[in-house]
Amino acid sequence: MKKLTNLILIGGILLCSWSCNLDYFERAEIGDIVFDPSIAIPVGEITYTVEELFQELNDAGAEVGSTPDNVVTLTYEQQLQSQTATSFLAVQDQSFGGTLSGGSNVTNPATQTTVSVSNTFEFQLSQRNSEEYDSIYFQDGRLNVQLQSEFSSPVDYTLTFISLEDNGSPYVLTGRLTASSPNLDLNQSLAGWRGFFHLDRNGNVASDRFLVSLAYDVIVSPGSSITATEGIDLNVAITNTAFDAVYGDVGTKDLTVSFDVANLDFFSQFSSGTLRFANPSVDIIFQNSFGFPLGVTFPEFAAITDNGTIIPLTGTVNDNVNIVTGPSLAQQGDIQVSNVIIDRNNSNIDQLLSAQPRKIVVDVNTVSNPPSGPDQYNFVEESSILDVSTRIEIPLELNLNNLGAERSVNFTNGDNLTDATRLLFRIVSENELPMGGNIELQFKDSNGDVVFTVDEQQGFSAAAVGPDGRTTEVTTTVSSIQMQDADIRAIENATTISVLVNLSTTNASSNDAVKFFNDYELKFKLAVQADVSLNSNGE
Amino acid sequence: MANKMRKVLLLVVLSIICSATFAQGYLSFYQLRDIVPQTQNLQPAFIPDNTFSISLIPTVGVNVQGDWALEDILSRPPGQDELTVDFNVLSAATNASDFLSIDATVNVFHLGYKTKVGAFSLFSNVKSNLDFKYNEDLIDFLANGNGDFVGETIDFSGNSLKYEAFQEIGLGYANTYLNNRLTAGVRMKLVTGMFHASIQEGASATLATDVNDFTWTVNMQNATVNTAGLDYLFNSDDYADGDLTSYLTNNQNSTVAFDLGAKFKIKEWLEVEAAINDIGSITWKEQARNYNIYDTTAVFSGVELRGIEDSDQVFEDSLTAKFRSDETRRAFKSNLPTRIFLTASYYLTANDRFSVTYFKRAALEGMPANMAFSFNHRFEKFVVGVQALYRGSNNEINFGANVGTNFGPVQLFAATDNFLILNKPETYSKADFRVGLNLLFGYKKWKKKDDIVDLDKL
Repeated sequence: MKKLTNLILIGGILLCSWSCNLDYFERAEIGDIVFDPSIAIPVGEITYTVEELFQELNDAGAEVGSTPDNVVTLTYEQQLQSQTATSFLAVQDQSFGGTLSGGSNVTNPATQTTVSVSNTFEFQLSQRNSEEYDSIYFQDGRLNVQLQSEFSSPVDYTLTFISLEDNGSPYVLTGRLTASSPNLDLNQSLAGWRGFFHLDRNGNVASDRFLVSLAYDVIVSPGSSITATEGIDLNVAITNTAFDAVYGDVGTKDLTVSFDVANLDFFSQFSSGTLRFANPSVDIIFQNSFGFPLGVTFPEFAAITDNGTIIPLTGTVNDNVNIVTGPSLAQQGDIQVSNVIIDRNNSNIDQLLSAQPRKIVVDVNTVSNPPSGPDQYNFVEESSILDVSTRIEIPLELNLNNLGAERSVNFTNGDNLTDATRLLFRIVSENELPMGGNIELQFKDSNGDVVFTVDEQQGFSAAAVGPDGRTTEVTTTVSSIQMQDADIRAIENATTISVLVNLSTTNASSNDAVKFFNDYELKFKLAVQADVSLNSNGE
Repeated sequence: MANKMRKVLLLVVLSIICSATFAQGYLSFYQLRDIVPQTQNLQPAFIPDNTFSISLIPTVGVNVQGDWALEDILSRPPGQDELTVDFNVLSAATNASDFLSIDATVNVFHLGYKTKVGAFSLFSNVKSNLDFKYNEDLIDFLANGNGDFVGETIDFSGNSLKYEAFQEIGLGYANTYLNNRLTAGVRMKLVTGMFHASIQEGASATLATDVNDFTWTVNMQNATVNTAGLDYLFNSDDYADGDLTSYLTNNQNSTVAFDLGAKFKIKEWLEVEAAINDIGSITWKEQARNYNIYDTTAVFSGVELRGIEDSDQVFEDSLTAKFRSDETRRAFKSNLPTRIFLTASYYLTANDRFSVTYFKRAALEGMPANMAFSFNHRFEKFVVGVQALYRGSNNEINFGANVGTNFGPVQLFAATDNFLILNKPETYSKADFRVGLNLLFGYKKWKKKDDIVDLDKL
C-alpha cells in the first residue's frame, strides 16, 4: 500500500512539474486597453428651399421672392434719386413800375379844387422758358411798394393789388402824399398770401398777369397849381418768394437722373462657366406727385462686367420716350406711379444680366410736359416730389453650364479629430431642383495655403424636367469622402474650407432654360463613419 | 492615471484567476460521491459513508466558465511583453452564441446523519449566479462599433443577462429501496432572494444602419430590466443603517425549492443516476424595480443642422427623445438556475468505477451541457479519480482529478475539473478547484467487513 501511495504521489509531482507552464505571464505587464471601434453616425440633415439656397448664395444683396406663378425671383431694389419741388421750380423775383398822371392843369383856383384820377395797371410776370403761372400760393416772400408823388398839393391815394389777396381780399393801400412827404415805401410780407394771374384787366382769361389799381385825389388849394403832366410813380417788387403751390404751366424742363446699380453680389462669386437668364426685367419706377407728365429716356444704360466689358442697352425702350404720368388737378396731393419696364420684349436686358455684370450704369433723362405726353394743367406743390427707383427682377428661369462658384467657410473642428484614424464622410443629397453641382473642398491653413484637397465630385444631381417645366422626380446622390490618417492629420490645422461648386442646370448643354419653383427643396444628409482609437491612458 | 488603470485591471484579472483556482468543480467533485457529504448539494441520493458529518468551516466555491480562453481576454500581441485587452481578439474568439457564467456558492454549514436505510442532512447555502449569454453581433458591436454593419442589421435579440443571489436553508433525506439497489433523495429548501438583475425574457433589440446615410433604425420590444434589492446598493443614502441586513435576512422574496435525485443499480456492475437541483422559482415582490423602454421602432437620422449650437447636447437630446421609458415596481418571477446531472457508471470491481456524466446548468436558455468520462478508485482511506471533460460549446477538452481522504475523523477533499490549468493557463476558458474539510464520525459502522479493503495486503 505504501508503495502505491508513493507511486501516486511521485506521479502527481511529475505530472504537475511536466504540466506547469506559465511562460505567457512571465515579465508580463498589463498594457493599455486599446479600443478602436468604427462608428457610423447619422450626423444630421439640412434642407434648403430654392429661396434659402439663393439667399445663401447672394449675401443678402438681393431679395428672394416669387412671381405669381411661383417661380423664384432675385430682386434688386434701389432708391435712386429724388427731385423736390424747390429744386425743380423757383419763382423768379418780379418788379413792375408805372406812372399815373393827373391829366389836368389847375392854377390858383378860387376855391379848393379836387382832381380825381384812377387807373388799373396790368403787368406781365417775367418767366423762364415757357413757364406760365395762373396762381401762386405764397409760403413766404416780400412785397415792396413805392409811390412817389410829383404834385406839390396833397394827394389822397388808394392802391388796390387785384392780383394779391390776403385773407381772400385784394390787398389795398390808402394814404396821403404831401409836398413835405411825397413818397411811400412799403415792405410787406407775402406769407400766406395768394397771387392770381389768370385774368387781364378786362377780365379775360390770361396767364402771368399782375393787376394793380391806383386811384388818387389831388387837392388843389387857392394859391396852388398843378399841371397835367404831374402824376404819381408806382413801383412794385415781389422778391424772395417761396411757394406752397404754383398753378399754370411749368413748360418743358429737363431733369437728368444718373445712378449705378452696384450691389449685384449674386454674380460676384461666379468665376467660370455660362449663365443665361431667360426672362429678366428691370423696372424703373417713377413716383410722381408733380402735377404734370414726364417723358423718360435713357441716354446711357449699360452693364459693366468684371473684366470691364460694357454692354449697352438696345431696343425700343431705349429709342422711344417713355411717359410718366402726373396727378391731375383733381388728384392734387396724390402720387402717380409709373413703371418703365425693360424686358426682353423691348430690349436686350437678358444679355446684360446674363453677362454677370459687376454693375449697371443708368442715366435717366426726364422732361416735363413731353410732346408725346398728355395735355395736362400743371401745378407744383411745395411737397411735390419725383422719386426714381429701380427694381431688377430676375425670375430663376435660367441656364447654367458649369458655372463655377466659390465660398469660404470657417473650419474650427480640427481639435475634435485627434482620436480619429480614418473618416468616411457620406453626403446624401435629395434634390428636386433642376440643377446639379460638383463640389471640391480645399482645406486651407491660416496662411491660406491648401493643406488638403477633396477632389471634385458630384454633390447633387439635377432633376429631370417634365413638359410643364416642373421637375418630375427627386434625384438622390450619394457622395463619399474618405480621409486616411495622414489626411486627417493634415487638416487638423486647417482654419478655412474653400467650397468650389460647379453648377449646371438640367440639359445645360442644350441651352435649355429651367424654372426654379419656390416649392423645390434640396436636402443634404450628412453622415460620418469614424475609425477612432481610444487608449485607456487617454493618449 | 495609466498605472492606476493597469493596477485595477491586473487586480480584476487576478481575482478571476484566483476565483477560478478555488472554484467548485461540479463534475469532478461529483465523483467523490458518498465519500464527501457536500456532494449531496449535487445529488440528493448520495448517502455519506459515515454516521455523522459536519463541515468545519464555510466553504466557498466559485465557478467561472466561459467561451473565451484567458488569452482571448488578455491577449499578447506578437513580440510584446504587455498583455492587453483587445476587443478585436475577443470578437474573433466569439461564436454565434456564447456564454459566460460565474456562480459562487458559500456552504455556510452542512450537517449529516446516516440511518440504517438512509440519511438526513441539514444545510444552509448562499448562492450567487451571474450568467451572460451573448452573440457574435453584440461582441462585434462592442468591439468595433456599427462600422462593420453598415447596410446590415445588428440583432441583439437572444442576448441575455441574469444575476441573482439567494440564500437557502433546507432539510434533505435519502432512502434506499430494493435491497439498497435504489436510492432516492429529496431536499426541500426555503429560498430567500436577495439580489436580482435580469433582462426580461423575450426582450429584443435590433440596430440597422442605413447603407447610404447611416440612419439608425432601432427596434426594441419587451425591453425591460428587472432588478430587486439593488436599490440598497446603488441608492444606499436613501436607507437607514440596518435596512439592508434586515432585508437580506427576511423579505418577501421567498419560496420553496427542491433538489431531487435518484440512483439505481441495474446490475452489480452498472449503476445509473439522475439529479435535478434547484427546482423552483422566486417571485420578487420586495424591492422590485422594472426599468422599461416602451416597444418602439425609432428612426434616427441625425439632427437639424441649421443654426445648431451645442451639437453634442442636441444630438443626445434628439436621440433620447426617440425612446420612452419608465420605472415601475411590479413583482416578477425568475426561475432558479436548475442543474441537471445524469450519470451512468460501470463497476469494474467494487472499488473501480468508470462513469459517464452529463451536466447541464439551465440558468439561461440554450446553455451548453458538459460531458465527463471518469475513473475512480477507492482505497480504504481515500478515493482518487481522474476524468476527461468535454465542453460542447467550444470543443474544449479538460482533464480533471479528485481525491477524498478519510484519515480519522477529519476529512480533506479536493477536486478540479482542469488539472492541466497550470500548463499554459492562457489556453483555457475554465478552471476550478475545490478543497474542503469535514469532521466525520462512525465511518466504518456501516461498512461490511468484506467491503473494507486492506491496502497493505494488496
